[in-house]
Amino acid sequence: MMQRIVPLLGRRLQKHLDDSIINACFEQLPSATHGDFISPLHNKVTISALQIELIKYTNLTQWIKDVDQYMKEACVEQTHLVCFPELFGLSLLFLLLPFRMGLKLNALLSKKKTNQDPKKKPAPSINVAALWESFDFLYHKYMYIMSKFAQRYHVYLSTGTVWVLESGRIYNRHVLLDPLGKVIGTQDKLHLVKEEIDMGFSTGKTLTVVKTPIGNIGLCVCMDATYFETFKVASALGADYMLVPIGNMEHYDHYLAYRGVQSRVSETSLIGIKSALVAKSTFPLLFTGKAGVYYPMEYKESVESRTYDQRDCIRVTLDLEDIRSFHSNIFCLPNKEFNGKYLRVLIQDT
Amino acid sequence: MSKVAKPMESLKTSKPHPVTILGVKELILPDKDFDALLLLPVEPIIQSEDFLTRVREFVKANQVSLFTPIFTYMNQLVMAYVAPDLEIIQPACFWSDPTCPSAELGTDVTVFAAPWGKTALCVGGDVFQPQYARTAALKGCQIMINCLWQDDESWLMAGPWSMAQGNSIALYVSGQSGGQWVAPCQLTRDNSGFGLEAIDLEELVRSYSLFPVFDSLNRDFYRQYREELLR
Repeated sequence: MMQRIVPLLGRRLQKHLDDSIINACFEQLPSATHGDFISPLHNKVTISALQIELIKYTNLTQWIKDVDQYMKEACVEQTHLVCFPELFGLSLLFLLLPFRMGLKLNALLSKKKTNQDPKKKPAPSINVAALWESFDFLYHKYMYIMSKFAQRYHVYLSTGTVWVLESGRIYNRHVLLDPLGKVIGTQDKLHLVKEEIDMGFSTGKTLTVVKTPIGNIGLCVCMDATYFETFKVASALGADYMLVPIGNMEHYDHYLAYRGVQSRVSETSLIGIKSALVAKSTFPLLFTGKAGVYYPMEYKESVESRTYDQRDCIRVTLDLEDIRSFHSNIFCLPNKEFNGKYLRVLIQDT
Repeated sequence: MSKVAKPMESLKTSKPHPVTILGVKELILPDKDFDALLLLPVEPIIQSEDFLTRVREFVKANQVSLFTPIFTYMNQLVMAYVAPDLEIIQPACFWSDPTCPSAELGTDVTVFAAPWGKTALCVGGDVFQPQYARTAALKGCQIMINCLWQDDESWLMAGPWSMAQGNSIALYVSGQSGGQWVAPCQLTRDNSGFGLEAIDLEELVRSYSLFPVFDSLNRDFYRQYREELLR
């Protein structure tokens, strides 16, 4: 039954996301007052990390108006880069009524699940890779829309992530656009959570650092920030800062949230820019997290949102020259011989 | 993604009760139960030539296991585990101190079988080098003993706490303010990772499934970037 319904839903969503409809939605927006992209002065780069609150969008006009509002807030003054969170591209699925109804059903099932016998076997995960063929257009449509926003506001834009199929494999992909809306870097999630492994996702194999006039930008996705290896490789490839879009489907806890970016930036002397997908407790899906900008502990104090379930925007100006001249006295100490042994254990090279 | 080993699962503990390490200020046998004693640091580095000899004599006379603070030994900054049947001396592998500028660095972390489970020592600022705890954990380490003179909260969070979370290991950290356990968040009721009096290793193994960090290692990715990870 699923195999019959899914293509049908895919076709229906494709109709909602026809280019002519997207263009018409953009035409309804007030005319943009932003000039051309202005290169950073004196190596000072202004970045906005968004904390996006997930809502049930019922039509594309509403979706585009809401994103435009976020962009307006993010670009209130001269801004060079705006960052969206993990999985935000999938919010376009809510344009379909069956998905919105599915959310309600999911919320009910989740409540039921918490009352279940914990020893009972959990239901098998759906293999998303097999089903996503009918929705593969979503990646291209999302990029089409986000590139229009990059052009409208003349900024570099981190799209956050959206799922994409490639040679029969499904990836959770983070994309970076330039102010002309061109894709200048992509990053497939390198470290998957258990649920993603069960759903048939594949991991990326390489790490992207994009050299731009606003600095060397490293890309990763959420769980990648749990592993210092991600940041270490990015640092060795010349990154100035890392973009970390997150979409955590768990209750917010200060300590659990602290396990990622803050530790990584101290260990590697990089700066971490985190954008977060959140939802109010009344929303049928659980998403919590804080957008923020994280500095190495010896450099300066990090800044992050005060809330974890409401929309917000964290704006900072980075001084690239200052970042590049910073060196830690505690972390990143050298020992090539030890590192050789570590590497052999890590990659299981006997 | 390649199949990865789960270090936590390969460990068997011979002691079912929680591991208690008792911090003491002097080499005097306390009137309390413990699995091992830990001599708390009263100075950043002990530079007394007969320190290890005195520790050995104490251990032999009282038949106890003891962890030392940092001391100089054969031109290295080291910590030691001294037990009646086993002695481990672990040199600092990354960290050095201006008071001992010529101290030589070690090149590996030793993971040894203590009566309660697999254990490793971590000298001073080596705890801020994430590859140190990662290597120990991949070798099967469950418990790491770290002596960190500067042990206020921000340093604890950046070093021992972060290592505990990233590798599902428990660290016993001794410093100016005494000794304390720093554990994976999921092991403590308030998720802080702090405040435990002893470590239940069975609970540590069980709680791994709540944050299975080693299941998501991407070894294909690491292989691609050997050179970068070597730096």
